[in-house]
Amino acid sequence: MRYMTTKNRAILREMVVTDFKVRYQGSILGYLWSLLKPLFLFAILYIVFTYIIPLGKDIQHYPVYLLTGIVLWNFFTEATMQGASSVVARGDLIRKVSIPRYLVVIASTLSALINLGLSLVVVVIFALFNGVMPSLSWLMMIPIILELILLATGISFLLSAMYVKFRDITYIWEIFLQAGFYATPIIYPLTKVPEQFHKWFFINPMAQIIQDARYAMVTNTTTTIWSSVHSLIVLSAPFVIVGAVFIVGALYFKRHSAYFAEDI
Amino acid sequence: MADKEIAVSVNDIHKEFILPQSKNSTFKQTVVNIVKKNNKVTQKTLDGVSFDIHKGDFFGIVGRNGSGKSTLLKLIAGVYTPTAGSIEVH
Repeated sequence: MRYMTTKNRAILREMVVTDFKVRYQGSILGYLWSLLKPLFLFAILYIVFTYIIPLGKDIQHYPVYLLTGIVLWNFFTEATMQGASSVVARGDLIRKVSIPRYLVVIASTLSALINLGLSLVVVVIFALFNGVMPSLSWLMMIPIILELILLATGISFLLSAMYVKFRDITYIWEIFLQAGFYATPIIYPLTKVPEQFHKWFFINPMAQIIQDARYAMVTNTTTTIWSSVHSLIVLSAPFVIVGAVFIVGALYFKRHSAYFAEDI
Repeated sequence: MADKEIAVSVNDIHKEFILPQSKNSTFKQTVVNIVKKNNKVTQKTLDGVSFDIHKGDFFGIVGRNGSGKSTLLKLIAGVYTPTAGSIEVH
């Protein structure tokens, strides 16, 4: 079975473009908000975490370090929250036309990905102003972001299929995300956590992804899974979790997608 | 007629819907349905429909309200999945 035929790609492109156009319709600044939103968020965080609560004063380029984490976490939140409600939100389409259902979920992930791209542009500008030197290690961001996309899409598949029958799922997921934000070293550096707990943090794929991204983008003094974990089982745990989440999500979605039209 | 190519072939289609009143839409209902061991109530909409449409044919479907005309069309269009049977669209 071919998943990405020319026809499917055209549908996907149309859905992503429409979503992007609709989002800023009626606002005076329009698409500029995609850049302004992360820019202002960063400005606020910069002031709070460098002057008011200097959590990472011993970390090189801490503002950029913080922003990298926030941007990746925001993508994860946006992709999974939009993904979870994507099937129901496109219910009118699903009930009338026989399009491959998975396109709806992929379209919502892609539209979050566009925002991530724009935010990363702002991060790069901030990084250059902050004195971070561009290097070849920035290329490592490609596999890291691919892993993040795989995780977010897998969760979106699972949640969107569950949301059709069980509408409480988005509230549960929201609480989960809130807890996850503090369980992942985003606003606090991992160096503030006693070393013996590091391996427990790295079982969380988001912690591994964010720390690796900081290592690649900001400073090679970042504690990563590669430098602090020596057991092969813990080392492979985040990757196994990402793979398993994607496979379980995709299979669950495939099984239930045949009945979306009548269940929505 | 017989030598014309088949455009749509519907073979022994069955379609059942779970009635909305038996779905667990509230917390109370979910608990009641589990405690009372209520089974889901299904409605047979289509029960063994078969026909072939040849290329170039004019084909009419006539039926009373709620007899399953739209369901049949949605099944052919691929929006719904049949409970049993198969549909081929060439």
